Amino acid sequence: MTKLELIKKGLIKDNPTFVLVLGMCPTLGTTTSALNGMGMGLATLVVLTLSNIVISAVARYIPDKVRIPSYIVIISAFVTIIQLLMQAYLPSLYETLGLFIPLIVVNCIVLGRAEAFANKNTVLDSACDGLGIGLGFTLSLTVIGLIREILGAGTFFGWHFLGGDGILVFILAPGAFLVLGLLMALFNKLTGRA
Amino acid sequence: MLISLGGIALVCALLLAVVNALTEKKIAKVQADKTAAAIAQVVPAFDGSPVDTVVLVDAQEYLVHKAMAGDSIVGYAIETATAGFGGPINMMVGFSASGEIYSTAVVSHSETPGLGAKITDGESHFRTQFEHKNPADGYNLSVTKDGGDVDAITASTITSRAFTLAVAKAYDVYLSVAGAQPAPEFFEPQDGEGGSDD
Repeated sequence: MTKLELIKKGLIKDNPTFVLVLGMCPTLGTTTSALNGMGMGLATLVVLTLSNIVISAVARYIPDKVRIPSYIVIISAFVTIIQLLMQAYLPSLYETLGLFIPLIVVNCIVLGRAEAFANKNTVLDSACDGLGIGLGFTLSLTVIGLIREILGAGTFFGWHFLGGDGILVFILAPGAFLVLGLLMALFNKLTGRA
Repeated sequence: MLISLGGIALVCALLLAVVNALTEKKIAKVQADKTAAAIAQVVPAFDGSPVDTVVLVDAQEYLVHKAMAGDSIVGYAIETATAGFGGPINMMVGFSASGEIYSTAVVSHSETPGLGAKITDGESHFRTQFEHKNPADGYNLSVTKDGGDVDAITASTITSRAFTLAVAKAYDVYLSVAGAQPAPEFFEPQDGEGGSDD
């Protein structure tokens, strides 16, 4: 597989949200607006790419028995670094994403890619895989957030195009499930998997 | 096995120590700026930086920022917190020297978006109705449903109650800090304006 195919694979064939259905907790929790979804997606993308690179580089020196603890330590180090940087330089985004940033550690996408891809592929391939899956996650979250925001608050990336409040249920938790389910159905229809 | 896991942990710990050292000051500054912005929003214009004191009211500690202009106090910004609908609401409530509510600011909250979260909208009627009201003049700090003078946000009575309670708590703190100073108008509510220069 070429590098470009590796990246593209994460967007459509292995889309983490609509096909692998991984990382549902941040997907449902942070997509109250397009910007929040995008912020969460980008934070995950950075962690995923960095942890894929490091894990693929050191995987062969790690005995099988302590594989998972080692991966978790590496991933949580990157997450904490991102958290500190975000707190210092993007405080408003940090405030809205709050608890979900430290929870990237247990996002199954990150550990899943380490187990399924990074520990048996080269550093460069793993970087591309992380980038692709991360982009797929970011785009999915942005789209879900955008739809919830348009319907629920009448805003487009924070720009108020509609007076009043919109259909509140889309901003609340049930709206997350509704939009996710409908988009998943649409995605499967378009990619011909259904 | 021990060496590889220990080695990874050690490298990660070192890395975190470095990043922490690099961002520590910046994070502290961001938080201090946030507090300063909230203070500036809730009290009249002041000189220099506010004087912070900790006050104990009803066995609870409150942080009070006194805003000074020259030698006289122009206002008090009081940090309070109450339990809202979705979690704690942290607020900064500002009083002018005479005990009038000058303005309010929500520092952090987790209220329902579109409903209770309207407390963050400083332009809304719910927020502006507090401004320039003095509880000493008989302004009753509880929502109309409970017999008070505060109009609650539609469909968000619990949040409105919590917000109003936070303002009322802040007023108690104000009284214990400034109780001695703005004398007569507290005992003659009908007196209306004036009074600070007794």
